Amino acid sequence: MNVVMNVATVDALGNFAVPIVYIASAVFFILGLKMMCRVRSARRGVTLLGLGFVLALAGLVVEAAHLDPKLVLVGIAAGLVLGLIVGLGGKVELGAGIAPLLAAAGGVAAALVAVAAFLGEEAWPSGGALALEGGLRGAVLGLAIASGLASFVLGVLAAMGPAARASGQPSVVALAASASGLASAMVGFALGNPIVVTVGGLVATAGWTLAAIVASALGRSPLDVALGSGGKAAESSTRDDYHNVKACGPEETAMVLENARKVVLVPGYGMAAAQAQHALAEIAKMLSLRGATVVYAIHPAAGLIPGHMNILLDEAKVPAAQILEWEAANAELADADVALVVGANDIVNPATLNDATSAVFGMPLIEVGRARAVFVIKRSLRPGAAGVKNALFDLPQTNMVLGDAKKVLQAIGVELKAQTPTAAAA
Amino acid sequence: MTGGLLIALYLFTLAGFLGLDVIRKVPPTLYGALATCMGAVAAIAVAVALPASGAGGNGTPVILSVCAVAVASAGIVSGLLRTARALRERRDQRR
Repeated sequence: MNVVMNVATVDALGNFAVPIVYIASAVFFILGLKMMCRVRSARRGVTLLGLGFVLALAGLVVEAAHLDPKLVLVGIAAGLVLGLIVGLGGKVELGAGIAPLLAAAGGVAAALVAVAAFLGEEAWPSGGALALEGGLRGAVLGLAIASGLASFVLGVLAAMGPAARASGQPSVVALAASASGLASAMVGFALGNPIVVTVGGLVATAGWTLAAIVASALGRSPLDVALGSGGKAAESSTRDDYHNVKACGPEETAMVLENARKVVLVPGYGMAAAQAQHALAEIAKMLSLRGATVVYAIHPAAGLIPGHMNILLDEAKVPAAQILEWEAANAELADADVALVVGANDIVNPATLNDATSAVFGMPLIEVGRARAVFVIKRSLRPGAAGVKNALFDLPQTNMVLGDAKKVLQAIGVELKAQTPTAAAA
Repeated sequence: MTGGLLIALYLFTLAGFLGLDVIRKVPPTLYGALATCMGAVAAIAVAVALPASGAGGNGTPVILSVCAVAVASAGIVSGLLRTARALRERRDQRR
């Protein structure tokens, strides 16, 4: 191979083409992360992230040409194999093991680079136009080491700490990613590499935001989730009662509802407390417009007083023909695609049928478990008036949509409206 | 040199605010996948920084950069697979 020519090409590429490629990959990363925030676009988001990754690797291979491209390719190959093993193995949930640790790897690598820089000063390039020198560089490298260590600790906490088997684990993983991003941004500062500063800064705050979102869904702070401390004692103990709870958002609820042919709505005290009857009626109207059969299932004990639900639904101008008593509703549920429970708990608790020791045993039951998919809109997993656990929440077809009934229903309504041309025009 | 630091600080601040805005209202199905992908993006950022730091070629940076590249590849690949599986599981459930 002609070494001189190789170096010349590399210089020409490195001066202009490689930075452009890096900028393009940063754009893909930003768009990809944005799209991954929605179920409908998550697949496209992943593709964009993958493209950004390929671009960044291409630039890296060109830049590393003066090192040993073979070594870099070996690194890529090893990573692909490891990624396949980690990605295909195990459950969809992160679980304990190597997957959460990978989030900390960037931070660890950054910290190691910083340490190497301290040890072998002369090997560090000082030619970069933006590179730092002297005490300033030392300070920034110190910060890189500190945040790298933080990301390592968080990664270990996520992999085997108190959060490892809890629903808050993604929060800790996101925190580790955030610290990794901060560490790489610091290395970028020291080297004077603008793209590393940009992407590192982006991940630092994006990771923190995601950690806060996951933790707030559990009603705790990200740090409490990581350390397994804090939180309301009652909250964590009710969570521990359940082992198979799946949570989902308004978007996914809407995606299932818009394909349903028969929907049974089950209002309870939560709908009354949140004054959500209008939002619910709006959704029912849109589903009817889409050609679905929609009925309301009224339990005799739903709400504060008998007839509470009927008064509220009447106020929301729900046609009387759609309102069914519990026995008629149970017949409809047998072939319903979706049962949407709005702030009801004890009246849909299967223990009324099959657990003679339960306080609610023998009560009439709206058998939402017969529907193919069940969505329960509820503020938390806390027990209802009867003070008992609800086995419905653990069923495989049940999805919890945690939140205020009115806010959740309005969000579902917005999603449905976007997908229903006639409703948008009306 | 100070000018360089200022440019970098400027970029860091803007990128930080962009990060705050890019992530909002994530559905629980995607929590794990998104967290994994973020770790991978952070790792690839470090990997990109490494060839420059290894200019002197004293060995350690070279090995570190190879490790960082490997880790970033693993993170991205597993993040992609995890997302695909999480979405597939949801779809199966809907059927």
